[in-house]
Amino acid sequence: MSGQSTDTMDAAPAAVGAEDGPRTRWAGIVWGLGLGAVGVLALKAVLTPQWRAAIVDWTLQVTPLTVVSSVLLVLGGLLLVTGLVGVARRAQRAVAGRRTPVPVMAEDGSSLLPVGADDETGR
Amino acid sequence: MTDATSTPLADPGPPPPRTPSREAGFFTWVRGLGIVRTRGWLGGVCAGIAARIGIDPLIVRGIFVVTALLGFPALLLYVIGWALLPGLDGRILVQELGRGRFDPTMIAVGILALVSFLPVASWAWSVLFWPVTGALSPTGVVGAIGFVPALVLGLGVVALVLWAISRSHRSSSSGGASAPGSPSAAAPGATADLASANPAASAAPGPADASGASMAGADAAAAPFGTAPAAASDIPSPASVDEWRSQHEQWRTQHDAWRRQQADADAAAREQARREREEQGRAFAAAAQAKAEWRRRTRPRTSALYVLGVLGAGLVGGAVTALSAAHVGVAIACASALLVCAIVGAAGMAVAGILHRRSGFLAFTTSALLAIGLMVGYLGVVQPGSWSMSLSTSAVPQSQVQAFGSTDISVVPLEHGGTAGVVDLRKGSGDTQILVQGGTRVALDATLGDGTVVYEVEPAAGGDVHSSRLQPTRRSADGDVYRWTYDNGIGGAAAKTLVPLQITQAHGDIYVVIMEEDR
Repeated sequence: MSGQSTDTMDAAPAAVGAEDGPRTRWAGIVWGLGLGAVGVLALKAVLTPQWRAAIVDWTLQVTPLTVVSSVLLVLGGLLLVTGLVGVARRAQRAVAGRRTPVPVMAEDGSSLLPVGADDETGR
Repeated sequence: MTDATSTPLADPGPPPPRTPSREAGFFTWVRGLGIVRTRGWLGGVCAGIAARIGIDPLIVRGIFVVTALLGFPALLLYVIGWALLPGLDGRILVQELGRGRFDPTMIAVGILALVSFLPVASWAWSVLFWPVTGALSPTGVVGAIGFVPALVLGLGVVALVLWAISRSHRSSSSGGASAPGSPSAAAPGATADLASANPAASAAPGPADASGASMAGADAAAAPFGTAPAAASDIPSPASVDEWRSQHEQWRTQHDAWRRQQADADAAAREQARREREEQGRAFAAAAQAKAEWRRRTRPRTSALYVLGVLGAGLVGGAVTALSAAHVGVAIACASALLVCAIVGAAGMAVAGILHRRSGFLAFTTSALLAIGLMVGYLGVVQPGSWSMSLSTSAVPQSQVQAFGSTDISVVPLEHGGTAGVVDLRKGSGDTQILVQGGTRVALDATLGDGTVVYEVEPAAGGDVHSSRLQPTRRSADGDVYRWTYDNGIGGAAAKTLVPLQITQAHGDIYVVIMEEDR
């Protein structure tokens, strides 16, 4: 049962021995900061009379070019944040990999166990 | 073959087994489906279905939300799934309730069941787009009063459900230490108990092990008693009849035993199949639980209480913002409230990330609030007219922005005369028609990017329509400026109402129609 359940799980538990505990969730941090920044800017735009006037002027001068550019701007922003999240995650993995020695060299046998093996035996 | 089912013999059968009740059989069937509610956003029904099919839970959730918004009773189905599908500990909520064990999760299920009977789809549409439709209407103040309670009500229901879930999680974690991995209550006992719960089922007796004699006698057993002796002997002496009877009795006993064996084998096969299904479901549940535990340990979610706290803070911040920004306008106040709520949610996401917690639900809520806030804010700032907008002069000034589309302005006299409020129209592309009624003096101040101003006078007595094209008064950087006044007094008298019109239009013409009146 223990072998079965760990085998049928996706490969993640066995593959990432370095991630035994919860890690910093960079996606949440970066997306949270990004969404928060957009929210703050939008709030300022909505509450400042000059910004409101600028938005109205922009709307009246909308052309297909500006519409396409705006859509591209939004898509680019989403891609940018996604990329940043990926970079942060990769850096995190690299740091975690450096911190964890090669499994064979480890003296502490318990750290070599794939995640999930300990509680399976305990059940 | 057919006589096997029609044999009217009273079969005492083996000792009566623990025949599963009708209800238990139903639950056994449900368990056999192999769908196990895993840890998800609410009851984990979508996550369970996704795990069963082997796709991402977000896809199932997306389909669920979309079908619900389209009017499909997805919420009701979700409630049914929540109540009837087994959880990771193998317990079915309704079954537990039937056994007199109350699970606090039932509160959440009950609330959701009540909500599912509301016209959620139309309600959701109107709530989502109310700020757009309501705030832009002239009577938007009423909406401003109604918006905050709607927000409070919606978030309150979410909070209540989350509270019930957190309670159930607490109670299950404190009392259910031995629950994981334990087989479900409906699991059968030993194979000895398997029995002919349904002896009249379509038993297909295999003739392989049935002797020819017994098969031959089957007809005798099935037939009325008198046919067998006719075949046995022409002279029925009492001794031979007794002998025949004893043989027949012996045969009947053998036959009954054989039939029971067949029925038992059939029931055992069914039971075996059922147990295999159940075993599969249990294995799946165990695997799902192991995965869930691994996920909980390595990538834990934010707790329901944390989400609740963040939502509460967002609600407080949003409400305060709405109150303080109410003077700017209803739409702006609503947008500010939504944006502040989203900002608080975003901060909650970032803090959750620092605390090593995933924030799926929080991220979803924050994104939704931000998107709606941006939309409402933009529409509130621009206040765009529809594709075809109609304005009518009144005592109060009016200001409208219209990116695209045509505009109809009706110039009507005020009841007591005087100067009407300025109509300030700023347009992107589209024509403008101005209908000037009698008793008004229209004062047009228009700046046109590339259009012209054409006016026509329709005499009260009929006759030819006089049409003319205005020449620009001057040219500016924004385009041609037209300043033009026309007095449409009734019966030659001076008009009592002055109507100033201020129009800035990037592309398109202005058509003025003057309706003369005699009296």
